[in-house]
Amino acid sequence: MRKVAYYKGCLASLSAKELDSATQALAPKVGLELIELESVTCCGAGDIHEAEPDYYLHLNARILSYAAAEGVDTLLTVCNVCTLNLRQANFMLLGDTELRARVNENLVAVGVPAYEKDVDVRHLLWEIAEGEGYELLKVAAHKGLKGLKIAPFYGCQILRPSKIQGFEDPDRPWSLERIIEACGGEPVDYPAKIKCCGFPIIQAREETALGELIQPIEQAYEAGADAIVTPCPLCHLSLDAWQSKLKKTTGRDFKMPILHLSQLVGVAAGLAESELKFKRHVVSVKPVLEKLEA
Amino acid sequence: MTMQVGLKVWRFNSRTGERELQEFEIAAPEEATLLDCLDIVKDQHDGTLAYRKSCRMMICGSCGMRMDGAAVLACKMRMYDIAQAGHVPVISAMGNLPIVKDLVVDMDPFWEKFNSVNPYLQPGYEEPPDGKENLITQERMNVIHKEALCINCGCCVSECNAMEADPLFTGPQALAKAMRFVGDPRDGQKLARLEKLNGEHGIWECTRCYFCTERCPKGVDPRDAIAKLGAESMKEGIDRDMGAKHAKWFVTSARTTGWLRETELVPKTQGVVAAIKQTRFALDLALKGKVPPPFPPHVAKDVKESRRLYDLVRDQGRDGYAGIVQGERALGRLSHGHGVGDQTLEEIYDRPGAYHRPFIADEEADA
Amino acid sequence: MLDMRHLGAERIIDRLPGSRELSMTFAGVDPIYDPVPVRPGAHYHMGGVETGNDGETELTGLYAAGEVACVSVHGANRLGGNSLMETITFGRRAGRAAAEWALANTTVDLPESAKADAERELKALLDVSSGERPWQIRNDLGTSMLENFGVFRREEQMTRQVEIIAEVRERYERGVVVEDKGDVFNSDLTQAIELGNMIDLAACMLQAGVARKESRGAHARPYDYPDRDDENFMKHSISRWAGDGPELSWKEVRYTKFDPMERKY
Repeated sequence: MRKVAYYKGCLASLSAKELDSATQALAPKVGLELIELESVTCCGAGDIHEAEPDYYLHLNARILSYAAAEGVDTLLTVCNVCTLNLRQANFMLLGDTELRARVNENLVAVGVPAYEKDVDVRHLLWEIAEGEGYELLKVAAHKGLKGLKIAPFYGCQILRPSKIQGFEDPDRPWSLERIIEACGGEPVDYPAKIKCCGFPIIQAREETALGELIQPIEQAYEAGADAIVTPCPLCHLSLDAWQSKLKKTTGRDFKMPILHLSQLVGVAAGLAESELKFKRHVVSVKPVLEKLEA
Repeated sequence: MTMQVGLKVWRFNSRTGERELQEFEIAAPEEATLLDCLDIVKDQHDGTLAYRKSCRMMICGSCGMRMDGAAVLACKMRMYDIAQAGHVPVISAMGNLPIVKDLVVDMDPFWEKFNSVNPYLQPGYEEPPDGKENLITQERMNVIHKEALCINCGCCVSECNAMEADPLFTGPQALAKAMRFVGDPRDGQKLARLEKLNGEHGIWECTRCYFCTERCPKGVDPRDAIAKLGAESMKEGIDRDMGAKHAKWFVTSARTTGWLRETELVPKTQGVVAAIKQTRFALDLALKGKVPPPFPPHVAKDVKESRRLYDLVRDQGRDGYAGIVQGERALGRLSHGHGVGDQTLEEIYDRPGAYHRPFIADEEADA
Repeated sequence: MLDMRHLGAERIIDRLPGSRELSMTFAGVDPIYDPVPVRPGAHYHMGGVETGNDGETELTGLYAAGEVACVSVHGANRLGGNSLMETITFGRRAGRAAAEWALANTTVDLPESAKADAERELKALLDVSSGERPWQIRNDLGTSMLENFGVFRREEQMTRQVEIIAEVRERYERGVVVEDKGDVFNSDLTQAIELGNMIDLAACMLQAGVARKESRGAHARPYDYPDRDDENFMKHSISRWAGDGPELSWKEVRYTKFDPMERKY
C-alpha cells in the first residue's frame, strides 16, 4: 500500500458524493492508502484564478502544504480542474524561489505550515493507467465489463495545457482506453473525446455550453457506446445533469449513462452499489448494469 | 540526406464544392518542415494545390493549417520523426473559418474580430512632464510579454471550442491581442477596453478548453491572457457579467466555508429571477441529491486560515493581472509534455483513434 | 557557430526570445546551453521601389510601403529596426497618402489596350501545356544568385551570373507550364508571374552591383574593391526597365541632420 494524500475537492464532497465513496472503496484494490486532507478548501476551479489570482495561488499553496505535512510525496486528485489548478500553482512555486518564499511567509502568518517539501499532484487516472496501479487494476477488475462498449471522455483540463499536465499526448491520449480494456470493456472512439463539456460556462452562457455538450453525447451515442466514462466530476455533472436540456434544443433524448472513472473500475472490481451510488445519477445507469447481468 | 514523406491532403474548392483526399509520396531533405514538403508537392507533383505561406520562419503567421486534426504552423513542423515512424499525416484547412480552397481559409471573420478589439495603442496615458521619450521598464512590459508574441496565424481560433458552439465569440486571438493593449502602460483606454471586453461575446464566453494555449505556436497562452483580462476587470470593479459573478462566488465560498457553496451558485450567478425559471430543472437534480442543502453549510476545517489569507494578500498589490503575471516566469520554463507511460509508442499509435479524424466543412472524413 | 551563452539564461529569455525559438525549432539548439549553427540567408530586402516621403512612386497613383519600398533613409545596410521605420513610420504615411489620393481620384483612365494586353499575357501563360515547370527555373535562379551574387562578390562571378540570367530568361520565355487553370486562390499562376519579375529584378541587381566598384553596406567586394569610395559612389543606384533590359542611373544622396559615415565594428 502506498500512502497518498487525498484531495477530493468540492464536487466529490457535495453533489458528486458517489465519486468520493467509489474512490475510497476502490483505492485499496489498486494499492493506494488514502489520507484524506481535512484542513483544505476549494482549489478555485479556475474561477478564483480569474477573479483573485494571488488568492488562488495562496489557497492552492495551502492545500499543497497540508499534503506535504502528511509526509507523502503525492497528492491524489479525482477531478480534472483540481488537478490543473493544483499543478499550475505547484509549478509556479517550484519554479520561482522568491515567489515561494513570499507565499510561505503569508502561509505562516495565518498559521499554515510553510510549503517546504515538494509534492507531486497526480490524478487517480494516472495512478491506475500505468505502473503498479495498472498491474493491480488488471487483477482487481476480475468481474470485467464483459465487452461493454465504453466511450472515454477525457474533457479538457486533464490533457491541456500539456506543459502543466503532460501525462500523455493531449491529442492522442491513451490512459482511459487502456483502463477500459483492462476492465474487459471495449473502448469506443469518437473525435469529441478530448473536447469541452461546456461546464465552465454552463451557467453564464448556457446556449454556447450546450453547443459543446451535444458533441460528445451525440458522437458517443452514434458510435454505439453503452456509457461514457470521465475522470472529471464537472464533466460528469455537465454530461449527466444537463443532458436532459439537449432534448429541448435538439429534440433528441439520448439517455446516455455517464460513469465516473472510479465507478467504471469499481463495477469491474465488483464493488457494491452502496459504494458506487448509481442512484445519484440523473441519467439512469440501469441499462448498463442490466447488460452486465445478462 | 533525403527521406520519404507521405502526406494525405484534403483538397477542397469552395466554388465547385469538389472535395478529395489526395495522397502524395515525396522525397524531401531530412530537415524539411511540413511547409517545405508542401512546396515540393506543389512544385513537382501538383501545381494546383493551394496554401498560404510567406516568411518560412514562424513570424508572418500565414501557414496555419491542420495536421492530423491539430492546428500547426506548417513552417514550424519538422517532418523527420513522423516520416521515420512511417506515419502519413492528414493535412487539412484550419477550423472555425470558411475554406476558400484546399488549405486556404477565408481570414475575414478573423480580422473582423481582431479589429473589434481596436488593436492599436490609444492616446491618453500620462506623458513625461519634460516631453522627452517615455521609457518603459522591462518589468512593466513583462506583463504583456507573451501576448506581444502573437503573429495572428489563427491556430488558436481554429480549435476554439466555444467558437465552434458560438461563432460570434470574440475568440482567443482577439482577446489575447486585447490583453496586449490592456496591459500596455502606454495605452490610455484600459477601462473602456475592459468594459467592451466584458460584453456578451467577450471574455466570459471562454469555456477554458485550453486548446488555444495548447496549439499556439508562439507561446502566447491566450487562455491565460483571457484570465488576466478577467482578473483586471474584477480589480477595476467591472463585474456585472454572469461569468464574473460566477467567479466571485467561488471567492466568497472559499473565504466563508472553504468549499464551493454549490447550491447558491446558480442564483448568485444568474440572479434570483432567472434561477427560479430553472426550478423544474433544479428539482430534477435535487431528487438525485445533486443539490446539497445550503444549511447547515459544509464548512472546511480551519477555514479561518483561508479567510485570513484572503485579507492578508489583498493588501499586497498582486491583484488583477499581476497575480497571474507573477507565475509566468516559472510556468514559461515548462515545455509541452507527451508522456507515453510504460507503453511503447507503437502501442499508443496503433490504438484506434490515435489520430483524430480531420474534417472538412461539415462532413466527417473516413480518412 | 554563434555563441550567446555569455549572455546568460535570463537575458536570453527576456531579450532574445525570438532568436531562441528559431534556434530551438530549426536547429534543435537552445542558445542558453549551446552555440547556434548559422549561415547566410536572405532576411530583408534592402532597396526597393523608389518613393517619396509619402510612399508615392514615379507612377501617379501607385504607392509603395514596407519591404517593397525604399524611402532611402537607411542606406545600403540592414540594421535592426529598418523594417520598423519602413512599416510604422512610412507605411503609415503611405497608407494615408494612398487613401487620400484614392478618395480624390475615383477613376483612372486606363487604355483598353493595356487591359487587353494584360489579359492576353495571362491567357498565354495559362495556355502553355508543355514545357518546364517554373520551380526548376526558380531554383536555378536562386542557387546561382546565392553562389555568384551572395555575401562576397567577385567581378568574374557577377559577369558569369549576367549570362546565367540571360539563359534563365530564355527558358522562362520559352513558356512555363502553369498547372492550375482555375480562378480561386491560384498561387501557381502568381508564382509563375513572380518568377518573371524575379528574373527582371536579378538583372537590375547585377547591373548595379557590377557598376558599383566599391564595398558598402551589404555590397562587399573584398577581392577587388574592399573599401568604401564616397567620392565616386556616394549615390543611389536607380534601375528602370527599358524595353528588354534594365537601365542604370544614379541619384545624389540627400542628407540633412546626420553626416553619413562608415560603420565600424
